[in-house]
Order: sequence, then C-alpha cells, then structure tokens
Amino acid sequence: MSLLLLMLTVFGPSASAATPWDETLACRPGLFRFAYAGKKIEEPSALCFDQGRSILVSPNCEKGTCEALGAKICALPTPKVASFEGPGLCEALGGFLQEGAFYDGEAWWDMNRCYFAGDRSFADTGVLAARRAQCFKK
Amino acid sequence: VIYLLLATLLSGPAPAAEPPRPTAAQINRRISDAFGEIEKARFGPARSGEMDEKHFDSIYAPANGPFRAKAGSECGTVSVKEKMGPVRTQGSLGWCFAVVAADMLGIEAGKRFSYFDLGMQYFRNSPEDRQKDRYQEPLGDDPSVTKFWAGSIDRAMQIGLRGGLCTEDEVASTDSMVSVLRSPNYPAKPEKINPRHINTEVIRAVELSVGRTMEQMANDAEETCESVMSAQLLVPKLSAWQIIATLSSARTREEAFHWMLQQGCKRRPPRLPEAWKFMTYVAKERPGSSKAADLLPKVDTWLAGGKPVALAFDVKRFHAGAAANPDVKKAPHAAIIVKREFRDGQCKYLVRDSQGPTCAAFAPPYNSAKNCERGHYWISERDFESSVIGVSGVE
Repeated sequence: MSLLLLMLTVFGPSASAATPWDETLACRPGLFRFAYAGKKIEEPSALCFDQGRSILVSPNCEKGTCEALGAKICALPTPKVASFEGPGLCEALGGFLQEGAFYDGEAWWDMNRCYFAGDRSFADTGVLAARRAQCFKK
Repeated sequence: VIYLLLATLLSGPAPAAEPPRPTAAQINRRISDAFGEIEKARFGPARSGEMDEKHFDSIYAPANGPFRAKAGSECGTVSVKEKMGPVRTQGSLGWCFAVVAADMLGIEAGKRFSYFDLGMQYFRNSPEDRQKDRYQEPLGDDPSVTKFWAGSIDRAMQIGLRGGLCTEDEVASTDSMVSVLRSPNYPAKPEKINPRHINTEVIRAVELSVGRTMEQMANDAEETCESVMSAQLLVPKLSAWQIIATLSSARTREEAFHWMLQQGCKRRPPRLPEAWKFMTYVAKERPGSSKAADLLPKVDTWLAGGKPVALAFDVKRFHAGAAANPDVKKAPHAAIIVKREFRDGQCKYLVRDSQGPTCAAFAPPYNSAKNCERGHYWISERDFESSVIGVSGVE
C-alpha cells in the first residue's frame, strides 16, 4: 500500500500544477457552438467555467495538465504587440481558434476557445494569455 | 476534385476556334475597372478631406492642477455600457483602433458596424501607413493585413464617415479569413464537392468569370477550398461562386478582401448632425498638473451626457502578457470607457477592452471577479493617471 502511495506520488498527475486562475471552476456537460465551413456547429462538450462565465477550459485543462496549457507556451517568442496576445498564442501552439458561445445548462455565453485535437483540450484565449504570463514568474 | 473536373474538361471535344483569351493582367484590369465604376456609381466621387477639419480636432487638455481623488459624492454612477452591445474580440488582428472607431460611430448611428470592414478600408486608404509596420520594418509589395496593426482612431472614423461602413451582419468581424490566408490550419477536412453536381457549363461559366482556367486554380486547390469556406463566414451573403471569382482574380490579398466586402454589403455613410464634433484631448506633462486632473473632467462630462469615451493608453499594467513579460516596456492600446462608479472607496472607470468576454486575459488585480466583468475591467483614477495618453469623445 505504501509503495502504491509512493508510486502515485511520483507518477501521478501533478495536483500542484498551478492554474492561471484563482477561482474554483465548475465543470459540467454543456454545448459549444461555432461557425465552420459556412455552417453553425453545435456540439456537446464538457465545460469548466468560473462564476462570472469569463473563463472557459476543458475538464482536462481544469487541473492544469493538458496540451493547451502545457509548457510549450513558454518557449514561444515574445510577440511584438502584447495587446492581442491570446489568439496569436493559439495559432502559434497549433490550436484551432473557434469563435462562438458555450451553453452552461441555463444560458448561452459568448466565448472563443482554442481547441487542440491531440488531447481534445481547449481554453479560451484569455486563459492562454494568462498561462503565458505564468512563464515569466520567477 | 478539381483535377477530376479538369480531366473531364480535357477529355471533351476540342472547342471550335475561339478568339484569343485575354491575359490575366487584362482580365484583372477589367475587373478592377468594373469595381471602380460600381464604387463610383454607388458613392459618387471620393470626398477626400470633407469631414476632417470641421468635425475632428485634437488639442492638449487644459491644465487643472495636481491630482485629487474624487469623493463618493462627486462620483455618482453613470453608464453607457448597456448601449454598447456585446464586447468585441479583435482576435489576432492589432486593430484596436478600428474596433474603437466602429463602436464610437456605431453608437452615434444606432448600428453595430463591422470593425473588420473599417480596418480593411483603412488599410486600403492609408497607403502611407502600410509601407512599413509600426516598427518601421518594410511590409513588401503585398502587405498582409495581418501585419497591419497600427492606426489612428480619428482617421478610421473619417474613412468610415466618408465611405460608409458595413454592418456586422453584412461583414462579420471574424478572424477566420485572415488566419486561413496566413496559415491554413483547419482541423477538419473540407467537405468534398460531388463532381456529378457540377456540369461543364458551370465550369466554363466560372472560368470565364474568373478569367483563370481550372488548371490554374487547381494549383492551389486546397487553399482555394478552405479560403472559400472561410470567406463564407466573413461575408455570408456571397455565394461560393462569387467568392471563387474574387479570390481567383484579385491581384493581392488586400484586393480580394476589398472586392468581397464591396459585394457583400452596401456601405452607407452614417448621417450625423452638422454640429457633430469628435474631440481628442491629449495629456501633456506639466509641472504641478496631473493627467487625471486634466482629462477626467472631460471623461465625466461625456459619460454624464450618455457618450462613451475613446481611450488611448498603455496596457502594460492591465494585460496579463504585457504585465508579466519584462521585455514588454510599453503596450499602446485603444479601448472605450463605458461606466463610472464609486467602488471600494474609490472612483473607478470601467474599460471595455476588445479581448472578447474573457477576464483571464487581464493582469491581476484587474482579472478578479471583483474588478472584471466579462471583457471589461475597472481602473482607478490613479491607474488612469499612470497609463492614459489621451481621451476622445463626441461633443
């Protein structure tokens, strides 16, 4: 048992992975809709969001361990203009920017997301900017 | 698919002797002239400079002495936030000035204008601005719109007033077209067109309207397909054929955008009162005077009159990326002040940014639930003092 605990401690997901938000997020099944190829696509999606509906991430990002919020973002060069960093980060990371809205079970909320096909993770581009900001913390 | 269609074409009987086809340059010139005529017929000759001196002005704000924080009794709640519509997303474009200009004109005209259309018009009408980027690096013969990221709010508004603007319904301010032109990276495979649904007459018609053969188009078939799909998101009222014709015959990307936008909407110059004036007050460093004391009375007057306030400022402290990165010394930006309220013992102003409805994009403490409202954040008078460059509004 103690060996198992040790292995979990060493090899398990990092519970201390710092997320770029302070608030505890609520995760639940919802919908995300976006336009693609001239059509509006509405797809079921598990979503995690804050109380103000101003943060959106996938459940695997909620713990801070997903492709969208991985260490790769810290290796990107500094953009010339910081005022529109998020969408540029999405592209630089190889994600797919989807402008749209999410449904939290009660209402629709405008929000974009940067989607990564590899682990099906996503985060709104504001979260990407906040994750990038973490790279400079000493 | 294009190759299949091409093979079908090539295997058919040889056409009878036809007059020689015009060169690509001749066709492009013809199309360009035709669009020029349409533009002139719709809007009349360009009225360059008509709005400039009369309706726009920029001066240093009068000095009002040192900074003094307002008391609660001097800072009643005033708001135009509800009139502004959903917060904007400037995406990967550096067109904050166009976002602000479209919103400032839109609030006057009671419409939601397309900042993408306004940015493209700015790009087209400001050749001096597109020779080099803001860092004075040359942009080349066909400068990508994606590198064009600096502009003047005043000038953008003047261009919109002269030439008219598309509404957001007509031209969506979406990033999709730009990203495809820059680097096609869409996840799903584009839907295949069933060749049985396209007969040779249709292909001939497209070839004639485009002025290019299917073989020429087939050279970049995949890119063409993705671009068409993305363009349909941008200009929903255009058919795929209109888009193909435009994309295939434009000489530059900028020209392709321009033609698509021209076909996709009818730009109407907003009608504004004769006395309408857009004033800019610039902060000036003076001994014994503060920027907040000089400029905030103007902000308060506009808000009290139900008018939003355009703000040119440094977001080094407000945006997460800029605040954290020591390499970023300054981050000039434009946004709109939409509300004033006495909060937490201070008079604060609500800034409507254009990063979308997120709060995570902003630096602490402006990203907290207390200080952020889906794309808007509260700044204090002290924040204003240390970041503002100038304010503009309608008088």
